[in-house]
Amino acid sequence: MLSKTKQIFLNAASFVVLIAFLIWAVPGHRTESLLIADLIMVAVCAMIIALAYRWDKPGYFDWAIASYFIVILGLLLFWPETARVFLRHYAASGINICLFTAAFFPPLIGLAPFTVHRAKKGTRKEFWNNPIFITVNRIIAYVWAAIFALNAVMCLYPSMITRAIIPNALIFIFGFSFSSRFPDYYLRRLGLSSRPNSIESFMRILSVGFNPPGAGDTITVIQFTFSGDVDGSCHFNIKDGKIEAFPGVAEKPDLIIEAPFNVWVDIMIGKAEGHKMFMEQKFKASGDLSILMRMNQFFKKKPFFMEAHTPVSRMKFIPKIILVMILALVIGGLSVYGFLKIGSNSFKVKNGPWITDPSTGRQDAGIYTRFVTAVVGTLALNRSEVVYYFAKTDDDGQVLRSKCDYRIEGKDMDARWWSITLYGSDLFLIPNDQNRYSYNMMNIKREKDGRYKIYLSQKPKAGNWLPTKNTDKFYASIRLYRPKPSVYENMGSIELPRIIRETCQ
Amino acid sequence: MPMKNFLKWALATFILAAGVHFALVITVPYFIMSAIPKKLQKAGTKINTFKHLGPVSGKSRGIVMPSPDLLYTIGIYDVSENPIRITAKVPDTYWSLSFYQSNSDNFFVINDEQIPSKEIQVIVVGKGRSYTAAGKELVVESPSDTGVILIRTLIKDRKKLDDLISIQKAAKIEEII
Repeated sequence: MLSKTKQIFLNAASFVVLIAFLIWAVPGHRTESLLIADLIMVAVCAMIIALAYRWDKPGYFDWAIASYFIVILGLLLFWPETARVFLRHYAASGINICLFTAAFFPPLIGLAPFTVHRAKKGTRKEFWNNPIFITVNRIIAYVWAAIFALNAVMCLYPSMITRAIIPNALIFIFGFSFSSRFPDYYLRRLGLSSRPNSIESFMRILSVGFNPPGAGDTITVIQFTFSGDVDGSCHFNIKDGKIEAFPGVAEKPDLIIEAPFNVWVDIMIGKAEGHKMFMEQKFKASGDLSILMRMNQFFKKKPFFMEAHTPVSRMKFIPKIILVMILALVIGGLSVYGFLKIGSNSFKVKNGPWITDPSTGRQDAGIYTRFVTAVVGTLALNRSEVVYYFAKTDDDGQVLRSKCDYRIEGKDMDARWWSITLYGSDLFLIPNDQNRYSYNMMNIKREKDGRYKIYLSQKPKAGNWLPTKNTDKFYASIRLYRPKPSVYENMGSIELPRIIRETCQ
Repeated sequence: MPMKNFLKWALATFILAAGVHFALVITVPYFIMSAIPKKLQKAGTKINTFKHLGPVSGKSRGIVMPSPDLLYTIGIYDVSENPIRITAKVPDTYWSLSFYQSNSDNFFVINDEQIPSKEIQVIVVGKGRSYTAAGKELVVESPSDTGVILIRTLIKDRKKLDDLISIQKAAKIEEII
C-alpha cells in the first residue's frame, strides 16, 4: 500500500509542474528561455513518471502532460514562432485539450477510464470488473472530458475570468463534487441497494460500511442470529476503530440480535426503521442495548457497494449525453447565426433603411458588436475616423434584390469624404464588366440643385448607375470619413439618401 | 421519460447551448483575426512586413466589404520581443494608419490631417514596455503582442494612381533590435 504522501505526490505532481510553467510562460519570453524551461519540464515529467512506475503506475494525465511539453519542445525547435504564439494565446487551451484527450478517448477505445486507477484504491478487488464500477467510472471520465473541452474553449478568450476563475471553479467545485457524489447517486437511480443475500455477503457489506470515527474507541462484540430466507449466525469484533467479521456465534457477545434475515437487511439499507421494527418486535435484541442504540453511528446507512445483481446497460447515460451535446451545439450555433441574420439589427441605430452601430471597432464595444463587426466588417475603423451605415432593405422595408430596380436619392453628407458602395450577399463587391462598385463625393454626377440619383439595376442606365447583376440579395453601404460633429450627435436622424424601389421583374 | 427527468435534460441542453452561443460570440473575432496572418503568410508576406494591395475589384476575396475607392496596405505585427518602427509617406489625399488588436478592436488610428509633415514614423511597443521616442517618432502601445496594421489611401483621381502606388509602397516596417 502506498503512503498517503506518495499518493498525493503522484496525483498532484504533474499538475503543479504544469501550472508553474503556464504562469511563467504565458506573459511571453524569448525562445531560448522557453526552450530551457520546457526541457526542464520534460525532465521533471520523466522523473514523475519514473517514480510513478517505481511506486505504482503513471496515470493518463501524467502521459498527457509529458506529451504536451514534448510537443512544445518540438515546436520550439522547428517552428519557434508558432510555439511562441501558441504559448502566448493557446497554452491553457492546449493543455485542456490534452487533458480532454486523456479523459475522453481511453474509454471510447475500450481502455479503462482515467478514474479507474484511483477508484481501484478505494474499492475491493472483486468489484473491479463489475459492469457498474466500469460504467460509473466511464461517466465520470466523460464529464471530466466535457469540463476540459469547455475550459479549452473558454481559455481562448484572454481574461482572468475565462482563463482562471471559471475553469478552476468547474474543476474544483463542480468536477470534484460530481466525482464524489455521482457513484452513490447512480446506484440509487439503478435501484441497487447494498442488499446482501447470504451470511458471507452480509459480513462483507457490513464491514465495508463500518464507520471508524463513529465507533471511536468502542470495544464490543455484536452477534447476529438470522432466520428465514438465510439461516445462520455471525459476529463482529469492533476494537480500536477496526472491525473484524467471523462466521458462527461469539464466545462472549455484548449484544445479540436475533432477526429474520430480510428484516435486518431492510433496516441495514435504510428501507425500514430500526427502532420501529424493535418496538414492533420484528427482531429481538439482548445484552447491552446501548450498543444497539449506537449502531447507526457504527455503520454508514448506504455503504458504497458495487455488487451487481441486475444486468445494467453500460451505456445507459451515454446516448443521452451525446444527444444533449449535439443538440446544444446545433442550438448554440443556430442562435449565433440567427443573431447575425436577424437580431443584430436591434442593437443598432436606425435611420430609414440604414443601420449603424456607434461602437463599431471601439475597444469598449460589447461582445455582440465586436462579433458582428468581425464577421461582416472585418478591420472596420472606429467611429472617430469613419461612420459606416449599412442597408439591407429599401425605404419600404423590402429586402434589396437584384430582380428589382432601385434609385438612391440624396444630397451631400456632412463628412470630409463619403461613398456609397454595393455588396453582394457574400459581402464582397459585385463583379461586373464595367468595374462599377461605388460612387463617392468626387465622382458622382449631381443635378442642378446639388442632389444626386444613383440607379441600381441589372441593365445599364444613364447617369449614376451601379450594376446589381444577378446576385439575388445585395446590400448598400455608406462610408462617412471624418464626419462632422453633427453626424455623431444625430446618427439616427441626419439626412441620408433614400432607397426607392422602382420596378421589379 | 417522466416530465421531471425530461425538464432536467432540457435544462442541461439549454445551459450547454447558451455556453456554446457565448463561446462562439466571444471567440469568433479571434478566429477571424488569426486567419488574416495565415492568409497573408500563405501568400508570402512575413510577419512585420507590409503587403501593398492594388485597387480592389469585384474579383477580390480577401477581406469582406472592401472599399473600391481605397488602396490598402496590410501588415501583421508582432511586438512580443522587440518594438517595430513603421515609416510611411503621407499623400495629398485621405490617408489613415490603423491598428487592430488580436480581438479585432481598432485601438489606434491616425489620418493625414493629424500629421503635420508628409512623413510619419510610428513605434509600436508591447503592452507595458517602454520606448524612448526620438525626433518625430510617435509611440503606440499595443494591447496585444500581435495584431494587424492597415493603411488606407483614398484614390481621389484614378489618373494619378501610379503616383499614389509609389507613395503607398514607401511604407515599411522594421523591427527595432
